[in-house]
Amino acid sequence: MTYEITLGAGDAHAVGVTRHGTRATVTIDGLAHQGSLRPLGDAYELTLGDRTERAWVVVDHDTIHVHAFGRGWTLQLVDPVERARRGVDSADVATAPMPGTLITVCVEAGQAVAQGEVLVVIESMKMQSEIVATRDGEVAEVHVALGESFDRGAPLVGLVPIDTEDV
Amino acid sequence: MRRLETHVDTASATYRAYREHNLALADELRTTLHAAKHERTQKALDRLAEQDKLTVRRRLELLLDPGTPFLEFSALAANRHYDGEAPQALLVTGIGVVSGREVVVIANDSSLKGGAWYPITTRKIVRALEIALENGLPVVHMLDSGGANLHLQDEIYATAGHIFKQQCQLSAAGIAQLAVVFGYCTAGAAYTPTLCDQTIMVRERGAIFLAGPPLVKAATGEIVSTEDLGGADMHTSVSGVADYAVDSEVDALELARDVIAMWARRGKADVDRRAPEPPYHDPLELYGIIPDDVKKQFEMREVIARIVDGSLFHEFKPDYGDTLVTGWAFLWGMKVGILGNNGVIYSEAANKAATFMQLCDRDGIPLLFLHNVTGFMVGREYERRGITKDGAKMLMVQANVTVPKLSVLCHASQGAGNYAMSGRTWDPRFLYAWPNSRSSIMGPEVAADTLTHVRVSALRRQGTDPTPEEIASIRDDVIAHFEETYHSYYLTSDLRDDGLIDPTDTRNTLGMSLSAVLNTPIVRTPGGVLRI
Repeated sequence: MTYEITLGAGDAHAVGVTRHGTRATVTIDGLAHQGSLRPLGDAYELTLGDRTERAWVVVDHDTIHVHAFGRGWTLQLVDPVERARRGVDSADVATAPMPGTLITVCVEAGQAVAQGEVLVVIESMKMQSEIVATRDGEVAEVHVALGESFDRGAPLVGLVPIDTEDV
Repeated sequence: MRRLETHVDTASATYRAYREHNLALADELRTTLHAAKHERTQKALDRLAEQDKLTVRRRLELLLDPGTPFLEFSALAANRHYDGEAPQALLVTGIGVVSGREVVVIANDSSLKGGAWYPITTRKIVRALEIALENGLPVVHMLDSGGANLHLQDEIYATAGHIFKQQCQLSAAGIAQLAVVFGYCTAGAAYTPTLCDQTIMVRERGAIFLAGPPLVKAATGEIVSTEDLGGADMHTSVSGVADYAVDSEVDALELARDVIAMWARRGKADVDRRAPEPPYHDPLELYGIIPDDVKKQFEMREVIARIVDGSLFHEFKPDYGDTLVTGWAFLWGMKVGILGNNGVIYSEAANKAATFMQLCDRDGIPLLFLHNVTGFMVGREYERRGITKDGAKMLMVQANVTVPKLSVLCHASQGAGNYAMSGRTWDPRFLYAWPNSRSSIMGPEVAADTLTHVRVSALRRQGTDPTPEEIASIRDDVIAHFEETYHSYYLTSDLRDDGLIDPTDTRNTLGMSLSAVLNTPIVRTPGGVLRI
């Protein structure tokens, strides 16, 4: 399985681990490294290539604290399931998750919106749901008029990337 | 399991508005609970003192192990009935710890109306005994009631018999019962102490008889004193109806603790456990997550993240039927299978729920239902795909699982969605409601539209054409009826739950409930799990 790991405040890295007996191949951003990790007292003996160091590791859920190579590191692990979920729905058109009626319009064409901003509110099956922008962008068109009904999957609000030249 | 991520923006205006709304509800709940439990007129308190009696709260304090929690049920029973003259239905019920054992306590509150039974009092006793029976918990009856409110005898008599039958069933199930008699147990009520394994009576205060002195005089002309007819010394040394006579309430409660300390200890059911840890995400944030209107949606995963150990959750079928969240977590170290709504139930969600419940039932994992459901999806497309058939599967599996079920009404719980999520009538072991929750057969607006249409049509058939004002008035009446009867305070008043709880108390309430549930073995249902 490939994990996404961020190191401190730095960029995310794709990390995969394949074990071969006591050794392992660690693939970081596509580059393979050979190494091993053995328990040693209250610490570990970490071997990477021809270099061997002592390392102390504390795992706190998705956060991993490592002391090695003379300093401390904080790694943040992003689970593949969560990563996959984050990736979906960043579409250009916000569509209706269920049939319903448009009860509030919060944006108008030409308006810049940030990810997570409420675009419209729909009502269906006694519930009011906010339809939010799945990414930053500019509203191209609100496809449904206030009070109008629509089917599931109907386009509600179209987004276009913000034209950076105009800014 | 992995830690649930939160997408709540605690700096947003929405969060702040919701938080303010829900803090006000929590405040109202605290005030209302305090009034029901503790606020009595000076006259009522003086009257108790004259009789040398303690308040029911003081009795509980003397009975329960110091510093242990008391899981009280339906403290707001009858708060919207009988013009409010019977707060907490004049009865305290709950699970407490006495001499290190979990017991169900049923205690009359004689500070008002002599602790008389109202119809809801009777039903509250029946429910407490049901909890004892289902969960294998011993019972302490603290008796001090003037008897049935005879103006309401019809409704009381309709259910009271269950109490004595349940006492017999408890005995047969090997569950101990102790009675402490602080007042008169007359007529039918005489059977409660007599059906217990052991009974303690307070001299000069407690009495047990089928008819008191005035009735005996009327019936046979015999003149006899209360103590001689049914007092503590007579029953413990002559009739053998009771076992211990003591001089004061304080002595009675001390002796009760001693009696209970002799009861057999039962082991707990074997479920997967790990060391408990608090949720990673702050439960106080629930106030800013739950919307200020029952129609507004929220993400149930945000609630799960603030209830379960470490906010750790292993979600089952995370990308399928996404209006219903299913998965496993630990709560106070005990494994549970959680089903939480994110609105309306579609076929995929119903099928996922059915499979998930079968998995948990096979593996002996208790189920926790978190309600925010407005029903099953309606419309041509969904009927053609057999939404009712899929809903029926969910109902069929849910009704017949043998693992314990717990339910919390977090927001909306309407229509058949309430049934599918193990609402009150589907007999979960425990069911609690948040003050913001609303529950009814359908939403008020839909009901108002339907009924208005019916009445306007009827009027037109009779040849009268209602004015817009008349139509609005018909509509307003229906809405007003719904607003009253689908309200959490009304529902808890009528015992449709085991109590209203502050959302931030959910974790502890469920933890105690799960602990109670584990006093009976968990039965695993054999059979295959269907991928439906």
